[in-house]
Amino acid sequence: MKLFVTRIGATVGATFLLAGPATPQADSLITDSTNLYGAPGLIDLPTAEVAPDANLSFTVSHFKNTTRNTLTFQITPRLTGSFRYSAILGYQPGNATLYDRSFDLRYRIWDEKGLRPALSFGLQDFMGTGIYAAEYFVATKTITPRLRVTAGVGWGRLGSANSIGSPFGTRPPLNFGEGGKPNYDQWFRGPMSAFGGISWQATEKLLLKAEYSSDAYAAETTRGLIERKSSWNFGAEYQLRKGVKLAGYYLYGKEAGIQLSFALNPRVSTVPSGNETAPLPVAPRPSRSSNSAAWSTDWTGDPTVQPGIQTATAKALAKDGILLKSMSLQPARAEVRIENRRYMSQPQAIGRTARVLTRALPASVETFVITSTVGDLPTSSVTLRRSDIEALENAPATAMLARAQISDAAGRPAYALTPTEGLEPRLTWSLAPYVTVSLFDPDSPLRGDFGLRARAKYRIAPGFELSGGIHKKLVGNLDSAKRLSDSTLPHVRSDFGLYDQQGDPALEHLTLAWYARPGKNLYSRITVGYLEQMYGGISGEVLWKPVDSRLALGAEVNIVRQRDFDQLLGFRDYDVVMGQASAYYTFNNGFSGQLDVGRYLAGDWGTTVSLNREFANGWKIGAYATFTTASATDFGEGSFDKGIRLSIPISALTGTPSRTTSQTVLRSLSRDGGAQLNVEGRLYDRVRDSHRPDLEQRWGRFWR
Amino acid sequence: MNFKGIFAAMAALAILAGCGNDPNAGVGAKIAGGYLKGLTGKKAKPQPAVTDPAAYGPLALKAVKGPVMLGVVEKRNAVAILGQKGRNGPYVTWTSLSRQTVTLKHGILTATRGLGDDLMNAEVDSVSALIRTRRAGEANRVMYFLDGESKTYRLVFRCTVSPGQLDKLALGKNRITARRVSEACAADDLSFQNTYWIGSDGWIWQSRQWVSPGVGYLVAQQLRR
Repeated sequence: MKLFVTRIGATVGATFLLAGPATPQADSLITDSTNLYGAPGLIDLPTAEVAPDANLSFTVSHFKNTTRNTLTFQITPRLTGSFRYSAILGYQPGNATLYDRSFDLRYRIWDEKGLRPALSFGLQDFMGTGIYAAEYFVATKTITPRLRVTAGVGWGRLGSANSIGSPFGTRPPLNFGEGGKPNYDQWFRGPMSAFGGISWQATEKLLLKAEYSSDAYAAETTRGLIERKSSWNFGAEYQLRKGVKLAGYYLYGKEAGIQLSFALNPRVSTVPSGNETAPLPVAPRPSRSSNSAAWSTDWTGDPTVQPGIQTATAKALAKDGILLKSMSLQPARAEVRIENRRYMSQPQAIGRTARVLTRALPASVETFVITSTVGDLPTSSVTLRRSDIEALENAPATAMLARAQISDAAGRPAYALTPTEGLEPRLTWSLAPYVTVSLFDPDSPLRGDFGLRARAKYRIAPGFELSGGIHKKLVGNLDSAKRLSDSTLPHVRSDFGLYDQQGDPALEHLTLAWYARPGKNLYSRITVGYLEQMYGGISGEVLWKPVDSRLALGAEVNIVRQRDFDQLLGFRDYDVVMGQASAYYTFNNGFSGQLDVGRYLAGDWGTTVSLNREFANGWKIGAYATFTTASATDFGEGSFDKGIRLSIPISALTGTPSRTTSQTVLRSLSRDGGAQLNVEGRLYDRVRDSHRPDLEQRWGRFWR
Repeated sequence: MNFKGIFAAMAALAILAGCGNDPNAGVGAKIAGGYLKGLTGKKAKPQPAVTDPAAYGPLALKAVKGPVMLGVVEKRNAVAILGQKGRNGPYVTWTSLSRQTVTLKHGILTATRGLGDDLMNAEVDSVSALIRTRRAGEANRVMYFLDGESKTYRLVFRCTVSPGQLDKLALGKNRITARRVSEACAADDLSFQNTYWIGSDGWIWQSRQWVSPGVGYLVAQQLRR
C-alpha cells in the first residue's frame, strides 16, 4: 500500500479550512480589526466598516494615562454596539482616577456599491457623563483589495480639533444629573470637523493604519495628562492567531499606545457538529410480507415484554444522557417521557430517542410519541411515524420536521405510563469551585472571591424538588468594599457589600419547589424557602405558553422578607409583596424580547424591557433596562438599572455536548430601584426549549 | 492579598474541579478552560503518525467479524477499524470502536457522525450512476452540513467524473484489479476531488472521499465484503 502512504503524506499540509459556511457577504467592508475604542475602525477613529455578523470582541487598549476596556457586539450585520469601561489616571480633582462606563452605537446606512462608498453614522458615549461623547458620519471605500480609505465628519470629541463650523448650532452643556440617560440634546451640535485615514493589509497578518484625527483631547491636555503635538496617528496591528490581535500605535506626535483584542463569534465553530459520539443508526423493520412473525402482536399478552423493553431502552438512552422517565406500550403506539440532560438541542435528544426506539420496539408499533420533560414537568410531545423515521434517516432534517407533530403534553396521557424504576438518583449533588466577580466599583473596579460551592437537589415526589446550596469563600476581596449604601430607597440590593462581608459560609438557597401543569398551555411553579442570597419567602408563578406559539404570557407574585447579612437562617425587618406580569416573544429573525410590568423589591412600580439575540447553538447576547417610579435621584448613579446579558453554552466553545451555559450580566453596581428577585427555576426557560419555535430553530441536529 | 496562596488554592481545587453526580457543576472553569484551549490551539493529543494503514489490515480482519473497512481521516492522520452497524435500504452505516460512524450508499459517502464537522447527509444518486458504471460525465451532488450556529446549510456541487487507469490493489486477503475513477467537484469557492477504485462488478473497494470543510478527506478501504 505504498500509494496509500504517500497520499497521506502529501495531503497533510493541504489547507481545507476555507470560509466554510460563512454567510454570503457580497459586501467586502468587513473587518475584525478594532480601534482604541474597541470598535471596528482605524486607530482613534471610526470607519464605516462592520465586524462579521454576531462577532463579539473584547479590546484592551492603553496609552498615556488612559486605559479602555471595550466589549463590542455586531448586533446585526449593520448595527454595532459597544460597552466600554475606561480609566483615566489623574482626570478627577486631586489627581484621582476617573472610572467611566460608556456605550456606543453605530449603524451602516448603506453598503459599498460600485463607486459609492459605504456610509455609517455613529453615536459614541451617548449616555451619561459623555467623557468620550462624539457623533459622526463616516464613509469607507475599498481602493484595492488590501487598501481602504475612510473620511468622515464628527461632532463632540470628533469636532474638537480643526473645526470647520457649527452647522447645527451650538452644543448645549451636558445636563448630567445622575447620568445614564441619552444626551440627545447635544447630538450633532457644536463644532464639526473632518477626519480620515487609510488601512493597508500589508500581509495576511499585518495591518498598517494611518489617520488624521479631529479629536483635540482638550480635557486631557488641559489637565496635562496627554500631549498632543500632531493630528496624525500611525499604527500596526498583527494577528497573533485567529481572533487575537496585538496592535502598537504612535499617537498625536508624542504618545505610544498598545492594544490587545480577542474575538469570538457565536456563528463560527471549529467543531460545528460537536464531538459527541454517533447516534445508533435506525434499524428498519423487516417487510411484513417477508417476516410476518416479527409483526405479530402476540407479545401484548406477555407481561414481561414491556419491562424488558423499557429497561433496555432506558439503558440505551442513558448512554446518550437521556433519562427515560416513563413509558407506555400499546400494539401500535408507544409513548416515552424523556428528560434531556446532555444536548443543547432538544431535537437532537428526540432524534436519538426515536432511533433507539426503532431498535427496541416490536414491529407493530408505528406511532412514537416522544414527550419532553423538565424535571417532572411534561412540556411537549413530538409524535413521529416510525415509517417516516425509517424513510428519512438519510434525508435533510427538514423533511422529518415536516412530518413531525408537535403538541402540548398537558393532562392525563392517553395510556397509563409506567415509570422507570431505579435509573434516576433521587439525590443529585455537586461540589465545585466558584468564582464571583464584582465589577465597576470606583474604589476597586475588579473584585472577586474564589471558593467552594456545594449544591444538592432531592426529588421528594413527582413535581416536588427540594434544593439547596452553600458556599464557602477561600480567598478573595469582595469583602473589602468599603462604601456603605447611601441609598434613600429601602436598601433592597445596595447592601451587597455587607452580604459579601458577612456571608462566609453562606446558605445560597434552600427551597422546596412544586412544578405542575394546571391545564392545557398552562404551567405553574410555587417555591418556598430561602429563595436567593438576600430574600426568603414564597414565590408563585403561572405561565401561559401554547406549544406552537411565539408568544408567552406569565405572572409572578413574591411575598418575601430580606435575609440577614450573614445569609444563614435569620431575617431582617424588611418585607415586600412584589412581582411582575411578563410577555415573552421569539421573533423569527433570531431575536427575542421580554417585557415585565409590575412591582419591584423596593416597592417601586415599573417595567423591564429586554432584547436578546439568540443563536441555535445556545448563545444569547442581549441587553435590558428597567424604568420604575424610583426617581433618578433616588436611584443614584446611572439613573436607572440597565445591563448586558451574555449566555455562553459550554458545548459551543468546547465541542463537548452539554446543556450548561455560563451566564454573565454586565451592569452597574447594584442599586435599589428596579431590583428583581433572583428565584431559580423560572418557567419560561424551562418550557421553551421543547416548544415549536425553539425546536424548529434547532432541528438541524435531529439526525445528529 | 497573597497571590502565592491563591495559586496554591487554585491548583488544589483544580484537582477537585467538579465532583458529584450533577453534570452541570463548575461551569465557569470549564468555559474558561475551553476558551483558553481554543486560544492556545492545543487540541486533542497529537495522534501517532500513521506509518502504514495496511499494517492495520490483519488486526482489522481479526477484530471484526463479517464485512470490515479501514477508514483514515487524512488531515488528522487517524486510522479506524470500521464494522457494519446498521443498514437502511441502500445506506450502510459503519462504526468505529469509539462510536464514530460513516454512512455509504453503494460505496459513496453520504453521512458521517462524530467527526466534529460532520457531513449530515448527501444526495449522490446522479454522480453515483456515472461513477459505478465507470462512465465519464457531469452531474450534481448536494451535501448538507451544520454551520457554527448548528443550522443546516447545503452546498450544490457540479462534478466531473472521469475514469482512469487500472490499479492492482491488495485489500485484506483480496487481490483486486480495480478501475480508478475520479470525481472533481466545485461549488463557489470550495472544490475537492474524490477518487474511487472500482472492481469489474461495480463494487467500490477503495475510495478517497471529501467529507466536509473541517474534516477534509476520508480514505476507506474495504478489507472484507
